[in-house]
Amino acid sequence: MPNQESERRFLRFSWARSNERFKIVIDYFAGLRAFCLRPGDPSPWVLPRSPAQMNQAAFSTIWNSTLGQTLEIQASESALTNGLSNETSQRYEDAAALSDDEIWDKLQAGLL
Amino acid sequence: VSDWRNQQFEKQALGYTRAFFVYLHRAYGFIFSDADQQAIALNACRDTANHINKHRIFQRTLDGLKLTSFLAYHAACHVVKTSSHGGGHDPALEACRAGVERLSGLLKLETSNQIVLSSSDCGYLMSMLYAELTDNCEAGIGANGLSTVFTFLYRIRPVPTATVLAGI
Repeated sequence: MPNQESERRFLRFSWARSNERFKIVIDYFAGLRAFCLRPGDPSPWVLPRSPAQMNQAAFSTIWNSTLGQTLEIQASESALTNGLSNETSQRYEDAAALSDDEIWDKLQAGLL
Repeated sequence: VSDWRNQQFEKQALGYTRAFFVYLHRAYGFIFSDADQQAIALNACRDTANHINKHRIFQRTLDGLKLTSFLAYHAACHVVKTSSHGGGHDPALEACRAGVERLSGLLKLETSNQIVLSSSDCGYLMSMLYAELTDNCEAGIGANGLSTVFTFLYRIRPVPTATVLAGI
């Protein structure tokens, strides 16, 4: 049986953020788990595997098994009270269809 | 609740969720995989639903502060579980701060800039969330507590006075 440890393959590259340089080490053996190391800091920061954008279909599955069910059994419309304002709610409703870049622009502008 | 309103709520929830993950990515460098995002969103929506059921809170619009509080809690929880912490640089602390800042941004938007938390205010709430997640429960504050704090701040926002209104 091969020695699993010896078969580990790492990909290392540097990453800069906020004037600090991080070293990313991607460990293929561990299923593309990534570790972020700061120079001189032995503790690894485990990063997720890949960037992703929550899509409508995936979220619908989540929604229908949780909050969607809850809201289905709620009382009549007249019994409802407001959560957040209609304006804020509308902003986030619209944001669902925006790209990540557009959402970030709005976050930076204080519009979300 | 009509299908139409349910679709509205779903879009609002998706908007809050996407804005949350985009903020953590762009402002703090956290990149959650598709599966991790879905797991965090599922936990947040489930806990929000449980809270709504338990307390029979009927709302015309989705409570974004509560949903975002649960997103902040579960995202930070995920980072705590998948990273080492307690050293010089602790990603779990950053995750807690990012979640609190996102809530603070939402509070600022909802109150039309009337309530803006300072950096130290955010730091205090961050440290309490961090304490909750790292087993210092006596000092900690969880998702419901976080949501309550922000909802309270939102509800006690000052009402514009006649003078202010006259100047608009």
